[in-house]
Amino acid sequence: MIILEVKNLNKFYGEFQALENVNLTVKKNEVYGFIGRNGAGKTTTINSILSLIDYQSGEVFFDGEKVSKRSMHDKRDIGYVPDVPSFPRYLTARDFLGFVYDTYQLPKEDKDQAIKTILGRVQLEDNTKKISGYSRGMKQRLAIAQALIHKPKLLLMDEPTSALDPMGRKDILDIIRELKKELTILYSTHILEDAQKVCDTIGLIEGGKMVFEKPLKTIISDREQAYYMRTVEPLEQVLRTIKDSQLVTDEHIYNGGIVYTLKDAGKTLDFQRFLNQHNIAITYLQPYEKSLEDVFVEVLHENRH
Amino acid sequence: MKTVINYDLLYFKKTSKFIVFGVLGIFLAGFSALTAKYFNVIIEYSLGQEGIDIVLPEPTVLESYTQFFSNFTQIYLFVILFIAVTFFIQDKTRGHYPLIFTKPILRSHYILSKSLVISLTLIVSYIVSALFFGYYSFVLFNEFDVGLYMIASLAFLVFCLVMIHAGLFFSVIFRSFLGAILLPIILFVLFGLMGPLDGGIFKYFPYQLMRYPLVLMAGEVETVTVLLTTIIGFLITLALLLGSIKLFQSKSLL
Repeated sequence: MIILEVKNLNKFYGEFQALENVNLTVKKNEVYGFIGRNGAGKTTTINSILSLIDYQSGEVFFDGEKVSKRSMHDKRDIGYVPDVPSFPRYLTARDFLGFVYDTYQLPKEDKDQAIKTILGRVQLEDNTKKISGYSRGMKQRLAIAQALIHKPKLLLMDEPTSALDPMGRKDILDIIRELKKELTILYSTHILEDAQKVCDTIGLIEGGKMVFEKPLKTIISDREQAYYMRTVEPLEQVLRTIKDSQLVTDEHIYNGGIVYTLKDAGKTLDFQRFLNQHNIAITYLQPYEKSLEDVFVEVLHENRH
Repeated sequence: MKTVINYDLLYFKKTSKFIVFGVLGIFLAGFSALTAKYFNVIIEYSLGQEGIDIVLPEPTVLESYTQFFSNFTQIYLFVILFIAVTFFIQDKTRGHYPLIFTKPILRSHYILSKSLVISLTLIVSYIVSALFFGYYSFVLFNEFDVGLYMIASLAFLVFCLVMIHAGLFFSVIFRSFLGAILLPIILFVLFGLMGPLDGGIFKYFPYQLMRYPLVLMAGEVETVTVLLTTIIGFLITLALLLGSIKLFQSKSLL
């Protein structure tokens, strides 16, 4: 069941094309990791989905209904967390959440309890100071609170951890893990480690174009098997030698050894023979599990060629 | 709509801007009446200390009106304009739009609320100040033309509304505070320069509202002319409001 669908989205800033036929499909109850480098088009896509910016062509559907600048159905059921949230500094968290709660026209009698519950969920319940005194991490947690207060069907998170320190990042990822159980999340990030921790599906955008959209599991298993080896000989020398063999690809030094992928999986024996011929003695060899970051680098590399 | 109004009222409440409006208005009202009454006495006394004996004429209530409308046009209106433009543009300049417009809020309601809240704040604070001035002037001068003063006040209020809504319109167009405040100020200066241009149809142009309160109290212009110009000014305010809404609806927010 699809909850959000973006079809052939095109966005220009003057002559510059920021998005080129972007297609994106988010299914209900999944965490969709929208990944890409800075400037790849993630925020532009999200701002277009939210009608915060105009786009030249394309369509956005939320829960089967077309989204437009004036439509309200999407706004009632989508929660949004920006990368660097900016709140009115003179308000307290309760003031701001009270305003947000009222915009959804939810029952007045439940307002206080709803605010209390949501503040508890993001660990801001005892905070009475003005938002101007909040740290970045606290503001990000408040941004999550305001995005959840109306119990949305879809949560759009635009790089929520990009401006945070490691502890702040961990807090946000913990919250996402909790939320995963009850709602659909589109989580945009360039921190691939974070995406790998919480996402079910990954959409990769590069230069305003979608490169792929696949379940996280298949992205990694679809790639050629990589290996990790340690040798007696110096790593730099071994790396130069195996590069010349023309049998491997994506070879690089990692954690005191070398990671490589065979260009042709059937040529394992040929590669071993090559190492023997060049007197390279292997002391340790095991299959290497690629990370999303490895795949990301490989795909971008392939795309460039 | 009610929610957005509450949000806008919170700004005035939490930042104490209500107090600025009220205190400034009442201070200027009292100050105007007092200076009108005692300025000549102060000058006579000061010159007397220097050995110059001069007798200035007894001030009339007309000088009180003059002080009041001059102070309100030159100080009160400027302060209000600065506060209003800050109020209109701050959600944009401080990056609050993404958190506001991802909620079910109509853009038309957003602009209407800004207009309504600032207009009501202006009207209430002006009425309080004007009542204070009226009472104080009557106490000091034993005369006060309530009817004419009400018409003059109406003309002044509408002039303020025209200027504030020009600020609203430019706040929708520009992305910075400077751009949004500069044009209404330029407009104000131009209005001042155009004042003498009051023949024929020009007497109904809203820039006349800047000086009509004064000249009306002095009996130098017909009441009907002031009322007609006030109505035209009000219509221009509405046009600026509708223009702001249309423009805001058609623009990209970021």
